[in-house]
Amino acid sequence: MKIAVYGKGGIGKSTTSCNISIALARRGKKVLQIGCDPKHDSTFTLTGFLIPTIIDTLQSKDYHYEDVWPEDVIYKGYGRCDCVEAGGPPAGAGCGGYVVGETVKLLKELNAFYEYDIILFDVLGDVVCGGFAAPLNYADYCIIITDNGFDALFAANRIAASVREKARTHPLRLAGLVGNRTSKRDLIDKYVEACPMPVLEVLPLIEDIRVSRVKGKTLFEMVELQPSLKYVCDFYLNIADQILSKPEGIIPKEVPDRELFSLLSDFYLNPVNTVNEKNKPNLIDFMII
Amino acid sequence: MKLAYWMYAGPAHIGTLRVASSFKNVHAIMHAPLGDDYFNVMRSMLERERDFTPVTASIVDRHVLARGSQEKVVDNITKKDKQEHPDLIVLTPTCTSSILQEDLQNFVNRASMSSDSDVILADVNHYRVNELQAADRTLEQVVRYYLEKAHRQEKLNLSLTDKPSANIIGIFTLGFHNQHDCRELKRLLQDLGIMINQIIPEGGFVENLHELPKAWFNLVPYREVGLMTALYLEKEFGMPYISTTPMGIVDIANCIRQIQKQVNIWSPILLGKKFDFEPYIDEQTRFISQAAWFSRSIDCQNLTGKKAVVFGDATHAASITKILACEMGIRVSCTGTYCKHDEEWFREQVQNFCDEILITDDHTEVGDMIARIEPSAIFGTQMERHIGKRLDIPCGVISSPVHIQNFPLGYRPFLGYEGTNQIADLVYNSFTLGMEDHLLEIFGGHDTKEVITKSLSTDTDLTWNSESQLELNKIPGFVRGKIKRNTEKFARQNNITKITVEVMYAAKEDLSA
Repeated sequence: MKIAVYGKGGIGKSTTSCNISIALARRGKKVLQIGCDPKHDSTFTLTGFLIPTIIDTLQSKDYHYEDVWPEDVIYKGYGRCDCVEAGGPPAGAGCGGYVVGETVKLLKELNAFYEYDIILFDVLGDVVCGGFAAPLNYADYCIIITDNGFDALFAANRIAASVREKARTHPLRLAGLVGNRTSKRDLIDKYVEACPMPVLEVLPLIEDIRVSRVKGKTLFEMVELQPSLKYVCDFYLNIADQILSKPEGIIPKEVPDRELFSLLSDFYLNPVNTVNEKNKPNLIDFMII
Repeated sequence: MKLAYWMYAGPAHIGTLRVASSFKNVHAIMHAPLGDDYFNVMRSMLERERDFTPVTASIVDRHVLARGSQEKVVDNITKKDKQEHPDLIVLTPTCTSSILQEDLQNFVNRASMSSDSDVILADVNHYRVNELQAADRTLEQVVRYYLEKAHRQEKLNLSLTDKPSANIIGIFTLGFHNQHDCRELKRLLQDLGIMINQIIPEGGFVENLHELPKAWFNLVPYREVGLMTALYLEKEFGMPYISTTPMGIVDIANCIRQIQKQVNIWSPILLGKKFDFEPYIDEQTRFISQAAWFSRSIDCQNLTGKKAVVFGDATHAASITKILACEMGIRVSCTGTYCKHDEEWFREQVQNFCDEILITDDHTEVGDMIARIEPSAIFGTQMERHIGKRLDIPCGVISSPVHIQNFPLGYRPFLGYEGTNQIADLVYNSFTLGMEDHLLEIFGGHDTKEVITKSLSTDTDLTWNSESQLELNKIPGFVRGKIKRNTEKFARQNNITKITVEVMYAAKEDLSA
């Protein structure tokens, strides 16, 4: 099973991805996490250091694929998760999307692509171009990370649009949203009402998650020393269990940008009106009867 | 096989490269992936020149994609600077590589510090303009660059030449009969006693561009390339320009009269005399050019009222339309151009000389139009020649896109008085001639007895049974195509899929009723 994780920049995609990867591994699956961001720090908390990227390795071998061995690019991380970093050009040069495609090609040639029960792509921010949509070509499920804010939901809506586009030609489904660092979920609920999709889990704002990132460790590793954090791991195990149950998933129908703007801003600007609107249809129904 | 896609004008970088490789001692470098560099092959195949095409590709390979260009482009520019010592190096991306949005201007700035030649980046939006617009833009950019440079170095000499002189702007490589036209224009100006100051870009040196303003006026024979340069020179240096294409007796005379007007502004002051070109026009029209009497001769009488379709670039399509309508008495049923950016001018030029106007760059629309009108002859590009072959309609090629056939070894200009002879020949020979017409009728055509299956609709849903095919074979070849089309049209209208002899006669009845 292949999963692509998307979401607004800085929302905690990598942190969440690493923890989900371990959770899946805990359930006895063979997991590979592929970082598809030129920043190449997706798997940092799994390995504890910045591993060499595929492009670094290919460059050093002058693109002689036959000289590249799986152990050159696939690194063992914490909790038996394997890790790959695609890497990419410095900002403003080359083509980051090309690198994502090249990574998948190489992994296929190394036969690594089919060895795993789960491959999890951790992709940068948004679906910015065809290259960064490449993981969607291979994925069975897309997961969107969001918080209870406007920007993240706006990004989520754009990603939903990409999923719908890809789902026309690929067997891709949206598994759902994961709320991160959010104590309230009213805006998420409002969005899901307008654009129906499952909400897999909502993680509250937990200081220890932030600390784990700084320490370069996953929550599962921190639990070994701080058993009190076990409840946080349960969030991730819950997500993993939902994925492993092979949910049906959905093909989302994104909300047009303008509508989304008014939908989310009205929510706070005119809270009374929304209540009225809810009452109105009832009245009309009553009149008709 | 079905032709899926065809473009009348190429991508923007082709225009830039055509201008760059027309100048002498100018090198062009493309920032391009492998395969986008077919320009070299195309040019050396068509132009058959002695020298190598001075174009190099700085290949966008996986290293560039994965890491960015880094030093590669700059290194390639400096390398060419050392190897070839060109006066100017023009850097251009292609459509593909411009997706990468690399800062090529930065490469140019860095390379120009370390190289002896001038380096510029062709400033063209590759997804907005086509080959012709890009060529126009690049020529203007190069001219502007060198005039501004001369201005900074205070080398600019704005005084006019002693004798009347002209610049010819827009003759360039891979142009439609450009080399022959250029020779003809030179002869024309020489006959008028006008010196050639410069011809750009073909064969020109960029180091001489600062002498452009010395000419009395600019001549822009083709409006596709050169007009921007002429406008720039007019704005900056007050140089008048003439953009009337000297093609056809009428327009040559118009062009010469405009030249006379321009020359006579200065000649009374500088030379103490006035020029009068009217006797020259009269002599050339009546005694030198054969086209004027020929078009009134008995030979041409059977062309009168025949239907023709014209399609090409704005310059050639407009000129040929006017020649056919005004000088040869041929009815132009439809005329059109693929230069959509020049639509307004084109409509104004041809509006009274044709029945309808088609502005499109979609070859299927042109094909449908020709199939609908069924003209006696087509005057178009290589694409229309192809359409004509499928419909069994003769076609004379009058405009680019070019083909190896448009680089004849013999002298075949379209401009000037010799051009009028060539055009008259082309037009006359394109039509099926009078006697040929009768003989075909008497002897039942000169083609084989096979059923014509050529038609524009490749996926036909109609079937002809053996009797109707036999009947079709009895019909003389020169009308067989028409009858087949009419029958199929009738069948389609009446939802008949199998064509029998009865259907053929019904179609005939229907048509004559």
